[in-house]
Amino acid sequence: MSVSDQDLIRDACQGSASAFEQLVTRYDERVLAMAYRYVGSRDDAKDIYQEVFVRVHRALRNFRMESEFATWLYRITANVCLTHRAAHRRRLETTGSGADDDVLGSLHSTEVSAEERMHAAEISESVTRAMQRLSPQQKLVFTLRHYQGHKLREIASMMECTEGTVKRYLFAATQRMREELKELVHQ
Amino acid sequence: MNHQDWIEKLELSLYGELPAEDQERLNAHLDSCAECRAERTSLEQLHTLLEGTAKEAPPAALLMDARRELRLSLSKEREGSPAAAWLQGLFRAPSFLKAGVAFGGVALLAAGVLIGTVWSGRRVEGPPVEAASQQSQPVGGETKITNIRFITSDPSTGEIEFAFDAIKPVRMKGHINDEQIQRVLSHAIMSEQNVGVRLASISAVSSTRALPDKEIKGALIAALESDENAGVRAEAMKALRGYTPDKDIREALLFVLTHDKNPALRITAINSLDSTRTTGQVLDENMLNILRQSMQSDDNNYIRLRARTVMEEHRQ
Repeated sequence: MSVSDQDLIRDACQGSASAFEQLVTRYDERVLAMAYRYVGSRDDAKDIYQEVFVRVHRALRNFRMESEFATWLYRITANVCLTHRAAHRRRLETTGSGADDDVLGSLHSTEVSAEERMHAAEISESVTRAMQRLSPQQKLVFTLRHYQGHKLREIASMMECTEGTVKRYLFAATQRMREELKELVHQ
Repeated sequence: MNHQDWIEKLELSLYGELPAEDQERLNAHLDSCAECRAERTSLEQLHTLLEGTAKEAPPAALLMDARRELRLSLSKEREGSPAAAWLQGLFRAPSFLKAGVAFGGVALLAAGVLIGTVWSGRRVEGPPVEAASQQSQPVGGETKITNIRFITSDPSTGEIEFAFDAIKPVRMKGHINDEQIQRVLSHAIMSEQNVGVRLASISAVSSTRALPDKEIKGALIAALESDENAGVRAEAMKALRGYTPDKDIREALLFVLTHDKNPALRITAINSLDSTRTTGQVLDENMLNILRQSMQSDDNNYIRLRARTVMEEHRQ
């Protein structure tokens, strides 16, 4: 039987590095995937990942066991994603690009023709570019709902807002994405 | 209900978030509204387009990189926070020493340990500020006081607040399998500045009959992946041979294979990976991808050949 989150948290609070590491590896793929999809860049995703778990490490003692650890963790991730915007913008201005090549990396590894690969890469790049035009909140809601598959009520809990607000961000994000991608959508 | 309301319901419907009752109403509306049917088609096309990009997971190497960098950051944090809770507990529990010496095979450690922030006035995350009159541990004897920081002083009351680091030499003796000894060893492996101490700590683990311990294993993996000294990394890899080669260890070996600049370590890593396979461990898709990458692009001939052999043997 696997050790519960609560046990790991208790051990980590008593100084066990391995308990904290187990807690990290239990959830970190999801955190990284969320960050990666949100920022579309390898370096920024790593920055967010790092920031999230360092914050968790520092604040673990304050974690109240009555709520789910995962919800608390994703809430921190959502906050870090939202506040990451400024740093990301600065990087955009200096590099002139919203996403690095890595966001397309997995497409390159599949066994498809060069033409299909190029087309898929174009779509992926356009989607990433369109997402960069969303507001941070819209982008986060869109990422969490569309790519991470979270329910709207879960997103509301992560972002500490109402489900109605989440819906508004989602509708606005979808409209914006439709506009940005209309040429591809109607191909 | 206006047109925009129906579009919003359409969207919720596509995400499977529309309550059944609303879904029925929407279906009825769609039967009679060509404009909303066109909207649905357009939204479905958008979803199809996005679906194609939805499966892009972060590359496995990115996760490994992120974990490695996190381990480094946390070990630096722990290093900067020597009065971590476990260490405080250690010094408040003298019974541990009595229990430790009762065993036959012993490891002897002498450590200079910073305990200053136990007493100092860290305002944000540390323990609460203690009044001098409540200070139970005397500062003196072998304790060295350094880095005094004045925080506040109030001439009207004569109260003054400052923080300092107190360094006190501590001698520990206990069995290699004692939990407290293992914690100190883990700390030394991950955070000690002196290369010789890091090496000696790893050697203490590999040369004694230490029982496999998660804490030590984590420290060894951290050293293998991120220690700046190749000798320490090599010693950590050697010590890990005493552990059952689980997923964490295989991932660490793959990390060395793909990231370590030292070819000798990469060779040892691929040989260790091969030996984990012969013990019945299965190489998963991620591992095979990394081996394929090494087979194609490692700048060392031997590693390319070895990766090919391991891949071919795996297929059989």
